[in-house]
Amino acid sequence: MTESKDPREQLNSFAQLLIDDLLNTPDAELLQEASNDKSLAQAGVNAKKSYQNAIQSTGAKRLEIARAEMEQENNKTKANVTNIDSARAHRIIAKLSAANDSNLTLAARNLNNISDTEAIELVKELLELGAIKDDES
Amino acid sequence: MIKTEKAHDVLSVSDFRERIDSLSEAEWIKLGKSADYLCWGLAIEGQDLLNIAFCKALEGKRKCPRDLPAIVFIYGVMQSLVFAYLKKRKRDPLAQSVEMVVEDDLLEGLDLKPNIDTPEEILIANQTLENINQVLSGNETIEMVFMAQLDGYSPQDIQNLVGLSAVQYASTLTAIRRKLNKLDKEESTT
Repeated sequence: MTESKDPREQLNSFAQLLIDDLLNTPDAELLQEASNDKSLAQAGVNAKKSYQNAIQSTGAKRLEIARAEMEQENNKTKANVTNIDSARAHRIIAKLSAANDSNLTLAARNLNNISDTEAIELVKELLELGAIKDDES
Repeated sequence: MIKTEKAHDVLSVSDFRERIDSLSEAEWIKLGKSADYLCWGLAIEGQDLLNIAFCKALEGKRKCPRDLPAIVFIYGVMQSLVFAYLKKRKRDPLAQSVEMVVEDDLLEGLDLKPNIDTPEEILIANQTLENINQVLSGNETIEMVFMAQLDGYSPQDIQNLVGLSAVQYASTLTAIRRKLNKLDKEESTT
């Protein structure tokens, strides 16, 4: 016999008994029962809704995590991009220009004489676009 | 010997989803109804309990053993949520401060008040028991099975006490379950 007379526990142990019976009921018999008892059919509808809601909320959670990771990644790139100085920018451009790199447009391949600001901007854009890597200098 | 859980012993999230997606209408009914039964007398709805159980599985926090039917697994998750819920509600604040709370991860989805029993919940549970008693009254065998169950007797003891064979006992349970569908119907229309 149970020590506790907590009505919630009494209900729970009674519920388990009914659930055993329910789970052991053949599907065809239960469907027959449900055709005469709308509460059973409704329970099925509710269960499907619970599942759909769970898919949506876990999907949304995953999306949120992916977004946060992407943002973190972008911030990392931006942080690196801000560290470009003019000497490094010119060095990267010279290297790309010498290699006739396809990431640089035809019109912009002779870039050795551009200003410091323009060089930094160009390298920043290439880094942000992912056209070159930060370690290419 | 300690049994370790290997990756191939349990379903991946996508395999689990496949199993759930292929549930029959009857199995959906079984899941929904089980959730409703488990929430009798509690301050949560069956639909919410089931939703939390599905979330745990879809997030990979609870993994379905490969050899277990998906509905039995989900029922098990719901049952452990309810056990943890009841345990937390009953735990006194002093014990709570020193006890390791292993179920807290399970409970994070439930809106739990930090302390022990709420009188309202006890009241609702007592009222539910009273309603069940009323629905089942009028059939002596059913009443005896119900009362013996509330007193905590095992199925075998109940069969001996009431004088039922295993088959008769199973039929009585089915009769009880069907009678109680009426109770749910009444509750849903009030």
